[in-house]
Amino acid sequence: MIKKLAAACALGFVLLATLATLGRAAPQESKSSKPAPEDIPPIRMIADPYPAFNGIAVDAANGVVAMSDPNRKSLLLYDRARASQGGASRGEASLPMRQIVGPDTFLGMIAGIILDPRRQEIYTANNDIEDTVVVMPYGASGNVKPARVFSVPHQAWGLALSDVADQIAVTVEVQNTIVFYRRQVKGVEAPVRIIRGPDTGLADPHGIYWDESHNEIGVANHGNFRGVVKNTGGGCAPSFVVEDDAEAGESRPPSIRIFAAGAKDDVRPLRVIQGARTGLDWPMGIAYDPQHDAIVVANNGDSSILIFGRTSNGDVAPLGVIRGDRTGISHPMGIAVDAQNGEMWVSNWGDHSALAFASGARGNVAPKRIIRSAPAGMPTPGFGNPMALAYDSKRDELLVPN
Amino acid sequence: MFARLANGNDGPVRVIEGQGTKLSRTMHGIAYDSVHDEIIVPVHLAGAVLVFRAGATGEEAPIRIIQGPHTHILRPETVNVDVKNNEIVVGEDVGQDVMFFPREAKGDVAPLRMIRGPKTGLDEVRGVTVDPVRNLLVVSSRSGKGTTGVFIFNRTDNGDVAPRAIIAGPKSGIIRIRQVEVDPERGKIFVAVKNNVESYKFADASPSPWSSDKPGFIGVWDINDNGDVPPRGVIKGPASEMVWPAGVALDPGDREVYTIDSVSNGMHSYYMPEFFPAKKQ
Repeated sequence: MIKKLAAACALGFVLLATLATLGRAAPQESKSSKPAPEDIPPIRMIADPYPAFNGIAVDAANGVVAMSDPNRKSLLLYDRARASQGGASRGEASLPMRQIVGPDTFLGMIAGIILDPRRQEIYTANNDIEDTVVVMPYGASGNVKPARVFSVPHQAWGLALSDVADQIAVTVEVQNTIVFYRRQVKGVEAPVRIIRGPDTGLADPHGIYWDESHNEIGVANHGNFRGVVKNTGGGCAPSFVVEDDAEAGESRPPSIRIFAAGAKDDVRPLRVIQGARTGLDWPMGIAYDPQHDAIVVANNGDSSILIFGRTSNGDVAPLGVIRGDRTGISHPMGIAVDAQNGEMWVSNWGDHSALAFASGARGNVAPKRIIRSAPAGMPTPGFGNPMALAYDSKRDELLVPN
Repeated sequence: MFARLANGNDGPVRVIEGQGTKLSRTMHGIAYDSVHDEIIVPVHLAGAVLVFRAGATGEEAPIRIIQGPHTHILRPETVNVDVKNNEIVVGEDVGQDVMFFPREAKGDVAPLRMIRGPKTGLDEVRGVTVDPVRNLLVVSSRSGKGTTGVFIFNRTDNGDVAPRAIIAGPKSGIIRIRQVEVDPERGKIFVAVKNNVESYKFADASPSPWSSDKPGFIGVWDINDNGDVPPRGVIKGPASEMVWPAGVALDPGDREVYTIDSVSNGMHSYYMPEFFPAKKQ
């Protein structure tokens, strides 16, 4: 299915090809027909033939909103302003301007995405298996090789770019680390600096923003902590001293940690948003809204957007929340702010959609525009690089950790 | 959680999710305890093993957590449950070990036994399962410099002990390996042979995840196999829709084998009566 999809995309039949796989994704129940002794078709198959949005980025200057799709392993670019005119408001799938997909692209289990408006480049992080960041030109389409690829530690998730520092920041889940590279990085290069260590409080970091106006970096943390890594000379590795208490696993509360943009090594954050009042629940993407001097968070666990003041600190309630049945928010992964047009974009993992809200929106409000990668109401299995399963004989169910 | 008979791009019937669950985005193992009706999940990034009610849904907290310095858990990659002997088995990639805990263990408790050390041959442990009939432990382990294959120990082994058998080598077809399960009634080992390739060739197109020249398969071996032996049963090929199968589960009652694929993000069900022949009367 994947090879056929990739080939079709190279011919430009992107969305049609994706939709055409739908029939193959649902084989009819049959207990016969074995084309070869060992090449046995499944009697049932659960798979999502549509792109599933993870990260999202917006470029107002060039009128582009872009999403990473780890399900079909692609990047999708949409017209920012015309997003509502593709039939999405009527429940139809939106037609992207371009989709980058195929074996030459290096795109795999991709997560965070950022856009460089000046140089018209797309950056996306391969979170698992490939351990790379892929850089594509805006004009790329179909099965094309990237402009650049650079190596990053395993489990890179969030990305942020600074023109001022001319650096790119990458969060690394398993190493509780932020790694910084020069912007033009290519291939295998050492980072220019790293934020890492017990004083940082980093624990399973995900989304990251770079606020150049206040010279700060903000990072969303899930709180999973499994010892601080050390550099053994050949890369980073955890300590093997099992008796070392510091290496024991912990499930800490989630947090937003704000560092000085030039920080490095084992530094304390300037401020920490953490505690029961914050409402943080699997915070994924994070962005800075300069219009409202606010930090906006894609709060995956309770399908909401949380808005904190930039200078919020401690166990504080958010200044505002976007949540409810009218919002269309469903397990959000990414968030991006378009300060020029006063909007914020949210990518939903839960239902094949991305939503544009007014950046001052609060409460149970409908989005201004919707982009859909599948017809409205189409269910999604939600798989992202699944690695195991089990059979529950009592409920006749299959269990998948994701 | 998906209905067994779900098909197409059906959604799950239940999801356990959210901060209160203490789950993470990196969980590479799962086991169902059919006797006590519980689910066991390792959380790699938090060095924890969580036990949930099997009927849990939403942001429901685990009923037990194994976590802390005395557990010796570093990075739990995979789990299973031995209901006959009332033990939870934990396999670790970075820790290069297999640990046994009381099934009802809770908190910062020491393991009952630990198989770890150079004699074991274990490296990155990807799957663990127990054959309670023959009192054996079956482990899948991947190694960049050592042996990648299926390692079989005595269930009660402890410390730095050599396996009693290893299934590995070119005839086995095993290059990369993930989850393992055992059908104790028939004495068969089912293995998700992923055979994925990781690419760091920045000048060339990546061989992954799209165009693997060594596609994975589900392989079946006899519990008494040893050495470089081919599988006795295989599911593999383009019609199977498998690219890199990472997980395997069994439903002998319905004579079905299930796999989860990390490339296609798909879950596949195969009707395999030849793998589950009826017992002779």
